[in-house]
Amino acid sequence: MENFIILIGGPGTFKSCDPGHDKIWLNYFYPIQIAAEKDLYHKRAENVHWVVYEPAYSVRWLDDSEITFWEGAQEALSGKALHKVRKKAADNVISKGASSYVERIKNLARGYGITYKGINKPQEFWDYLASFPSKSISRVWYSGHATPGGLILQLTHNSECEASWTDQSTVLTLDIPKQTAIKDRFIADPNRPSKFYGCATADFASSWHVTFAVPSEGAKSSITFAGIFGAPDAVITRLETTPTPRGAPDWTKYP
Amino acid sequence: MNPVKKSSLATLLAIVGLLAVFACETDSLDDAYRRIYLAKYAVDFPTSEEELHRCESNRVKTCLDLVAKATDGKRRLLAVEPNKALDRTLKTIVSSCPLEDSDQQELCLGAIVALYFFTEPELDARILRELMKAERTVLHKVFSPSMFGWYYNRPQPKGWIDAVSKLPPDDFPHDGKASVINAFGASKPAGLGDGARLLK
Repeated sequence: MENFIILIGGPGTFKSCDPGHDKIWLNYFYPIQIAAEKDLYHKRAENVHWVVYEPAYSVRWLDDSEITFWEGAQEALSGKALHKVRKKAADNVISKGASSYVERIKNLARGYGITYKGINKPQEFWDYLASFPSKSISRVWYSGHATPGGLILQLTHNSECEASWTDQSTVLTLDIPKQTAIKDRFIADPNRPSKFYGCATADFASSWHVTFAVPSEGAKSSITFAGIFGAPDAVITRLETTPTPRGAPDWTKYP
Repeated sequence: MNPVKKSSLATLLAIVGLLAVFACETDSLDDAYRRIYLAKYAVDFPTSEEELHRCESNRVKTCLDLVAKATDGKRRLLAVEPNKALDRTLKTIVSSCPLEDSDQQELCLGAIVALYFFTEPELDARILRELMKAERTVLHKVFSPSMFGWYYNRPQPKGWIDAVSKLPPDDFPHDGKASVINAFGASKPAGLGDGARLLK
């Protein structure tokens, strides 16, 4: 049986001073979940694996599941929907029988017959790929934040509340060429490319293609996860084509 | 006022004045590092000339604000006499990088990105000399696996390649020694590194 690995990056902690990022915890998980539900993976005889960066979802759960007095007052005074929407999302998860975002994802994985793998460090993603036998990984997808430097598994904020990233929670593009030892795990199939859904993932996809000799795809510019909830049947193609304020994503295939 | 008291007062005022100037310069450079940090670590900072052009032509506010702030950081750094600015930059790297506090990390990483702006041969030689003496926790930040733009614009890259080659592999996180050596020998970053080169 072949294995289709999907790495799912997480949201950052919501900051009211940065309402433009990660207002909803689901952003990077929803497209992957809905693709499973609507059979948008177009999978053949493949086992699907969700590899989830748990620290992002655990921290976010702590943040969303209890809105502080200060946050409530801030929302009331500003008149902006900043915090209640997060509490509502957490309550919704509880109403579905889970006690955290991680548990909710695990439960959904079980329901879809998907193998769940939680990771706590970027290196564990490579370790997981290495754990498969030769010629057994059909493709790899990613959903989450990204820069040309790598796949950002968890967003942070600097002292002035600007959305930032760190090496410690990023699968680095420059680490790909160091993984030649696992090249034999991959099956090169032109009909099943590896796809990296994040902003500016083209360098990552290019390096993936060169190192593992498999077809790969990524965006040269930004992509947007906004609006994904309104078009479940087209959730994947929307990520590849929807323009952002910077212009078209410039979705690129290697080769 | 008698002459002795007058002269003591003048000395005191001069000291206070000097301290104020030093404090202002220090604060200004700390702010400069925090702003230059954005050129590598802000998620919405443009990562290439093409992306910068997209931001400008589409007037993307978040992106343009970040570029303006980082450019201001560069201006603040370059407003200080180069030897003094480098002295402060190296001291910041050595003192902030071993500390895990997020504010200190921001200063540390911003100061490392700022090395891009010191390209005079004698300043470059000083950077090399000082960093080769730094402790491992500092080197782990300086030789970050995600790379910095200043690796690629050294005036005497051979000196760096020779010195870095002699360091033990443990001084580099993620088994990154070979990658760092290759970067010092490369003429330009392959879309990676940081956005310091985009700051006008």
